[in-house]
Amino acid sequence: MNKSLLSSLSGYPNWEALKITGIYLILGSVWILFSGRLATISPYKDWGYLLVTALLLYWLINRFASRLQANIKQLHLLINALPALISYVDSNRHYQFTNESYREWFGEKAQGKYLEEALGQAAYQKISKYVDRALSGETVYYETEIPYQDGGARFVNATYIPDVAANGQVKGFFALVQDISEQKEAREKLRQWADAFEGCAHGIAIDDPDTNRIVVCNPAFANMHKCRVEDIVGFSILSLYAPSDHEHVRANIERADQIGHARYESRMIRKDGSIFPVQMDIVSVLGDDGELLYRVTTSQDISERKRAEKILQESEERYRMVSELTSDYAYKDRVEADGSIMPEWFTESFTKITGYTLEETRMAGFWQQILYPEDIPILVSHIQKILSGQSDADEVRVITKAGETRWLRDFANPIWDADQKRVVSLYGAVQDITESKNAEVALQQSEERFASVFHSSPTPIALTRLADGKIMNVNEAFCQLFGYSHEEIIGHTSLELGISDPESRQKAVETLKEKGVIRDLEQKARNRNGAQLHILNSVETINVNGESYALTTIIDITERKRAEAALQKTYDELEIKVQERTAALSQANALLQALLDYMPDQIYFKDLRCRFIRNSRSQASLLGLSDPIQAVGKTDFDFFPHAAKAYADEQEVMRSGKPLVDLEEWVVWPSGTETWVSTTKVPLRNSDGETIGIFGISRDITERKHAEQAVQQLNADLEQQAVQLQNANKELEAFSYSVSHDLRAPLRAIDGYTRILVEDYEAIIDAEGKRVCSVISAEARRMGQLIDDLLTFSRLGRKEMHLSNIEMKALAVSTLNELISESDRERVEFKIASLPAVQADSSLMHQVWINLLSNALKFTSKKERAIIEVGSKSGQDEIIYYVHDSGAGFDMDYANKLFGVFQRLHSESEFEGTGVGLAIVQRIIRRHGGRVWAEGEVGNGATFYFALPREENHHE
Amino acid sequence: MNDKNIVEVLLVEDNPRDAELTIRALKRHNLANQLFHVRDGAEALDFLFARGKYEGRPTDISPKVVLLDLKLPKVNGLEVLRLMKDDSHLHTIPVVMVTSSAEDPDIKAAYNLGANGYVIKPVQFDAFMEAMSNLGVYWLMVNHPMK
Repeated sequence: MNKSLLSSLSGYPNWEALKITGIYLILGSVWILFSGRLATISPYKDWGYLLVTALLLYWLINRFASRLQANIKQLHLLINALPALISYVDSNRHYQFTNESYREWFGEKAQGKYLEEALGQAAYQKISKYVDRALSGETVYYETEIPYQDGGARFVNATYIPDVAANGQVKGFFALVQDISEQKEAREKLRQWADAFEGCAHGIAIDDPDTNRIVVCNPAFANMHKCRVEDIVGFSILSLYAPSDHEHVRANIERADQIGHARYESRMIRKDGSIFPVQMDIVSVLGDDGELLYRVTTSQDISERKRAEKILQESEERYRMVSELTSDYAYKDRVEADGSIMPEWFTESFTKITGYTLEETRMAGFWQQILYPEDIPILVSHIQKILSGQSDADEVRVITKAGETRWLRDFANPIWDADQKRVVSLYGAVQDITESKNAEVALQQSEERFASVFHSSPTPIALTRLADGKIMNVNEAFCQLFGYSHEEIIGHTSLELGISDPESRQKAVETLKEKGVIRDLEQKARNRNGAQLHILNSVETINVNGESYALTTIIDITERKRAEAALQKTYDELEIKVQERTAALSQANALLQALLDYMPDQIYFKDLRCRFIRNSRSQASLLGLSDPIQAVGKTDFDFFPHAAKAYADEQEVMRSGKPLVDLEEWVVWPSGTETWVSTTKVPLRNSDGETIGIFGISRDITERKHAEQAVQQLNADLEQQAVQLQNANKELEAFSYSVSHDLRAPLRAIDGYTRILVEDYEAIIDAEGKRVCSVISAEARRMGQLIDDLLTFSRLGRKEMHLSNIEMKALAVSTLNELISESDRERVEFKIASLPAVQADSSLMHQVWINLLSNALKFTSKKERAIIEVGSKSGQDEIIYYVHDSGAGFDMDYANKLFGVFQRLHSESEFEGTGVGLAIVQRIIRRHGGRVWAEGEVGNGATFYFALPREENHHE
Repeated sequence: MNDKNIVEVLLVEDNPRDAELTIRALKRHNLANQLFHVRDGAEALDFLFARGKYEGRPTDISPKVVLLDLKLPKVNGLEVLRLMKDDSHLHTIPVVMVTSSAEDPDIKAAYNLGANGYVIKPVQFDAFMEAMSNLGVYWLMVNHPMK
């Protein structure tokens, strides 16, 4: 029994004691009341009372004490059994009592020790403030981590209860310390779980399987339902689902209850009626006895997911469509240990491109079959590379199921397994590059074409590297322009070659840097011979294999420049001329006015509607106006009753642009005058060539008209006469023809037969008879001569003349030689001067010379010595030729008869002749447009002249 | 006067006077023995082509010369000339135009048709005789005809 314990309990009312006291009082009371009675029974009543009370007392105390002992034992057990530290610390900070736990914690009981000593300095420091507070009478609760020296640091929950005496002094305190490390941990964990629960993005609800109502849910769950946690708790689970899903949900809940877990999708309904899709996981938690404790439902608002799924579906759909449309396909192959390659999958495009299915590719020898034979080696080396672990790309041709050849570009990636040290699979992407391959080929061809164009182009082109200005390539035209060969140019800059002018080049380079292109930049250049050229430079910057080049095309404008300079000079000269002209123009205008004022012809200007703009005075007066200005704005209709035709003519002229020239018409003027006029109307154009009106000029041709009419009449008469003459000529021709035949024949006969007569009958014809016959013959001959001469004369008048250049002296000489005999040469002296040539008919002139020279010979035949002279004189428009003879001459009085037909100035007995010769000469010379005359003196010779016109001007 | 079989000269002349004079001239030089005279163009053609009244005439030997006047009745001289020169057998026979016409057109036409000569008959008898005999001598004695 612990005194302190008892004393510490003394403060409390003791109900047991009271109870016992009560019982004693009752018994006592009963004794008192009934003791008198008992006296009579036995003298030993007091001893009995004592015994009873002693027994009662013993029982009571025993009970009380044993109960107390039992309690204390219980308490002790309890105290020691408790896992907590229970202790009593006195005011001196000694442990007066410590329970068993101290032994557990620190290895020994701390009874009697100082706090510090028992717990360790560090721990004591931690708790000392609490100790102080407890010792000051405060009940202290605290939780903290205390670093005990033995037993390590523990998280403890301590309660200090001060033991306060009746007088208020603190005798010590009771300490109850619990190790709550585990609890703390558990509490931490629980907090974490709670946080997790609270903070979980998924909605979690826990429901009670008995009531099927939500017991608790986390904020996320509540948020899903757009309400607060309190609004959900207590509601049935099903009420949270869309009614149409209740069956489905119920079924899943049952399943979860049976197998412990269910996952399903459903739709939940919010308080406001909106529905959203969810994914639910139910876990039904069983207790140890297998009874359903609670269900944990995790729900997830999968609206987004559903949307994402839909998008994905659509995307997949799209992908499917794309992959069906695309010309590419992807594939994955498995590589076996033996190096064989098994296709795992191809995307659909493969079938679209090649026409084969995946199964068909798995058949042996598939690739050998569809590959273009020439490309098999390419594929083989490609595969070798890949199997060695390198990614590789190649281009091969395949023959599709349809028999078409297509180019494929395969980019394959191997997957290397480090453990197996080999490629285990490969995946790749294949492009159908048929079009681009074709394009490549086309490009190549195009490039070739370009190259040929480049080289064959007549325009000089050069390719220069921008970095160093060196010329990389030029075409033939370039070489020709500058006079250098291809080899001489390549690799040099234009400055080195001296073909570009440094200043121009600099400017070009700057422009190129600034704008990237140059268009038609005029520059100076020099060719190999040093001659300066003017060129138009156009440059494009192009990129070839990453390097920048300048592509230059040149137009040689040297000629153009020269022409331009010449043109400029012309312009400058023209400018001066223009100025001169302008001055002249104003003068001309003044003259025009003068013209309009004084010209007798009617001149007018009209506009497009035939209204007078300006006219001359003469017209104004004929129109009956005193001043030309009065006509302005008026038309012909204002002056003439029948102006329609004139108006129509003028409109036509202006419309067609063709002038109406010399239209002759009879006009009755408003002033009363009537005249014939010749009108010319010409469209009036401005400097742009547009018709702006009409210009007319009318001339009074009344007299001319009359004259014309007279002439016409005359012409008609003349024609008539000409016809008559022609007819006469024809008749004459026919006449001559028949004459030449028919008249001659009889003459021939006369002469002939007479001769026959003489010859055959010579014997009987006497001299007189012979004389008579000779006369007959002579006369017949003469008649023949006459006829010949007449015919000649006539023919010469009609014969066509062919003019040519006649060497007159040569002709005269040759004619003379025809005519003269040897004796003539001896007798006559011939003097033939040089004669100018002339345009004449040669045969006719020949005839002239024959006649004149034979005349000269004839009329000098009687002289022993004679001179015949031929010469010429120059006249104003004519050349005069003459033949002079020193013969018989003639009487000038009868000179005019000389040239008549059959006219003779001598008798036949003097000189023979028919008298036609000179007439013939005259006729010929007259036909040449010339004239003949003669001079003579009887007995003293004669000179015959003929003159021919100079040059042309012949007329018949 | 002539042996029809061998004709050396064919004289085509309508004027009997001129014909007589011509024959007289030729006779002077003994050239008229084998002369045949026809009086118009038609008869000339009949003779040459051995037709009409001359049918059956042996044509193996041709005249050495034909003296042809221009103005003839029936068929004129130019026509006869043309037909002769067109014929494959006859065109080798020399034809001399003997005519009064000195007209240029006639001369030109005759030569164009292939005349071998053109002689204008002089009015004067002497000249006429001389011309005719020259003709005869040349064409019958000097000229070498085709066989």
